[in-house]
Amino acid sequence: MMDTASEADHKLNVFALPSQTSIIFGLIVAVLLGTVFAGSIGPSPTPLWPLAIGLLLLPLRELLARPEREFARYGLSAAGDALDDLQRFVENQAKAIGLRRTPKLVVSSDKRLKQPYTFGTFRHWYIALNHEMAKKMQEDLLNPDVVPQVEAKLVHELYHFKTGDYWQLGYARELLRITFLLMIWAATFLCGLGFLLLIAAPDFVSFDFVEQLNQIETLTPEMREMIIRIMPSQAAIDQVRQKAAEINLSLVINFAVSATLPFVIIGGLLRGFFWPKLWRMRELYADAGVVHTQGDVKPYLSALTGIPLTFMKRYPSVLSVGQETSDKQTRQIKNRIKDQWRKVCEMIKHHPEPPTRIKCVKDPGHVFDPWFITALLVGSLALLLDILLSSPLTLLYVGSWPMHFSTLMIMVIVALSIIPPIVQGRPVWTDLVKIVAFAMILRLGWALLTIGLLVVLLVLAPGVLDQVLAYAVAATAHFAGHSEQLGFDDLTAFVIKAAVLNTAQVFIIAFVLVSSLILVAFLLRRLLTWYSLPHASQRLMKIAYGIIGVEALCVGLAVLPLLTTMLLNPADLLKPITIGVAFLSLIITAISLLLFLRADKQYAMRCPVCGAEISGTYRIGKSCNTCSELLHPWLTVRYKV
Amino acid sequence: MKRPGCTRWLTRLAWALVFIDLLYIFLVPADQSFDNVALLVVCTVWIIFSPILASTWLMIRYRSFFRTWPGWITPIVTLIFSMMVSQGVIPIHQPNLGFFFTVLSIVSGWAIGIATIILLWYRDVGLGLIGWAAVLIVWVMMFAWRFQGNLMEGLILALERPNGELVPLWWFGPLTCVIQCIVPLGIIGFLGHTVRLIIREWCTHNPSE
Repeated sequence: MMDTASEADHKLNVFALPSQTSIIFGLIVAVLLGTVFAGSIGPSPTPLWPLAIGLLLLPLRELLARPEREFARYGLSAAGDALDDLQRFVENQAKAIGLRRTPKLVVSSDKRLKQPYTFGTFRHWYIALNHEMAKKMQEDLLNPDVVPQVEAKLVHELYHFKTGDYWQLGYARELLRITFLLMIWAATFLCGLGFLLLIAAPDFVSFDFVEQLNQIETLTPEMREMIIRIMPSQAAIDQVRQKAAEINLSLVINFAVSATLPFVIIGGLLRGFFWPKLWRMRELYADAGVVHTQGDVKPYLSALTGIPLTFMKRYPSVLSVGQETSDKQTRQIKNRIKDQWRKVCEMIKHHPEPPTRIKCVKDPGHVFDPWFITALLVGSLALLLDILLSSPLTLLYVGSWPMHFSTLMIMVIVALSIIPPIVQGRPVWTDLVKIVAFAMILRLGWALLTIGLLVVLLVLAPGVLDQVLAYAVAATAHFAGHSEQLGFDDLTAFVIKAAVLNTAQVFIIAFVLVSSLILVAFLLRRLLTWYSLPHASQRLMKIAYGIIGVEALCVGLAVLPLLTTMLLNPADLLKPITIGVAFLSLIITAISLLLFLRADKQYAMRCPVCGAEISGTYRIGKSCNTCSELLHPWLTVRYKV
Repeated sequence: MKRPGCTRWLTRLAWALVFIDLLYIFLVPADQSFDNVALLVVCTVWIIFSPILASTWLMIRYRSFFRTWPGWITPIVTLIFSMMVSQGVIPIHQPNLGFFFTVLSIVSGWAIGIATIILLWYRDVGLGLIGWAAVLIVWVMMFAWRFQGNLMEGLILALERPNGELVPLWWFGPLTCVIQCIVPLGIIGFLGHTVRLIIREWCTHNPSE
């Protein structure tokens, strides 16, 4: 227990807020699957929906198969009777932190297994340990001085199951692996198919099957008749032949490249940066779980750094001294460069550095990214999606949906990322404007670059521009193999229209994003003042996610489609489907808003204990002025630092 | 469950069958004429089915080898080589040896199916096999079209050849055989392993719950 109960002692309960691990996991899944779904819209020559379903379900299947592979990889086996005490200790700890089931201890003598690690499926959980390490841990259980360290190590592993990151990590790993394998397969297959078409198409067009059959002397007339009857009719053959003659091979290869390249680039980016980030984030959450359980950071820091617990208790400043020295050092320019380089290197590491872990354990607010990292995260991905799914070159042909996908992604991620600062009582308006501005500057830069290229080509080489546009449309709008609809009658008019509309879209989308996010921020801030909401610890965050969901629905189905239709195809604005969908989403938004206002009147600004009115916005550790009751205690946690 | 004695006995019988078949192939003159039609039929059935039965049991017996990739590839390589000999790509003037490779090509074709079943029983690679088989078809067709000309014409012209020989399309038989084994067995293997994984996940009792 803490000696004092001052406001400074209230640490942010990271588990009560949107999980950063889940956000990154959702981002990886949404981007990869979203790319497939977005790519399957339009007149694609190959149906992409089976691919989307396959990519959704295959990782799930592989997740179930993973324990088998891990057992085979490390030669794991169930911990025997000799490790019964350790298994019982794990069982008790699992019960203490409220796990539904106890993970099984599995051991191996494999030297690659240096650290304990977790894996499992939905119903079968495992903690893998090196045999020597497991024996040492069991021995340590007899020494009361080091029991907290063993407990810290095991609780850390158990928290991977508690937070559910084991299956998120497993699913994301398999999704990335399958995407990579699929791309290798698709590239090999499509290249072969392209070359085969190149070589075989002329033969196929000029081949006369009946004539060939007539030349065979050994066939009897009856056999010849039978073979001809089995074959498709002459009209059908002629139709296929005509289609084969229409195939533009360069467009087919263009399609093959454009269909696989987005996955390769996006998959590489996700694997290179987002995947390590997912790993680092889950470790920080497991660290937080340990200090929440033990109520003290020292045992875990001792387990992390190897500094004996007794030494740490005797010299409590042992870890802060290192931090101060580090701060002083970074003042020098040379060391600052080194520090920045270290940060860049850390971006691709799977485990956070001990200083980062210590910092996050001492102040859980550091688990959540600052605005710049969030901006980099969403900006880079949105830009990539824009380039690969709806290039400004083809916007007039490809339609508007892919643009909405990246815009909605920005909106949801930014909305989720502003919840922690709102809980901490920090202003978020400037941060969200900066994040949106950063993403939009990237998008504007890309649009201006393309428009500049269009203008230069229009002036210097209009013929080349015509060709470039035809290929870009064929690649992005999936006109592979079809040569119609790709001609550009008036290049100047196209360039002017593309320049105006693309530039306008950037600003319009930025305005939509900022205004909707400001509204979300306002509603979330207001939501946090619902102190007298019954079961707030279970319901408040769900309502917050509901607000973000309804806002995304409204923006995605009403605001953005209406604006884009107005810009690109004003004639479609009065189509029943456009009006119907927009109307439905607006009705849902209006009903949700009414419900929110009603609940707000009932629960907002009122102490749940004494019923007194509480003024001002919520910030972590806020208490009722009348009865001193801590407001939203579930958002805070107290432990010794 | 088979007793070890029975297994040993069956294995010895299978090797004995192989030995008898080899004796038959190499010791009986290839141009031996059969006056009795019934004897001809019996000998033909024997020379086809006895090695198939023997090879099936031996592959099951030595499945530890056939569950590995080298084990799976072995009958494919055997089929390719024996087809090259029996289709006349590699000329062999010894008639008994030619007969041996003809029988070997039939047995290898069957063995590919058994090897695929064994591989897919132990390894969850059905989907991968189907996928890479599609790549194999496309590339083989592409190279064949490039170096051997119009394939459609070649296949129709093969109808005219005596003995049903496909030369120069000798590769078409092994390829068709491999694909015919891989595609249905791959689908069954994939679905089977999926069901197994689901059963293990949801129907196996977890004592810690």
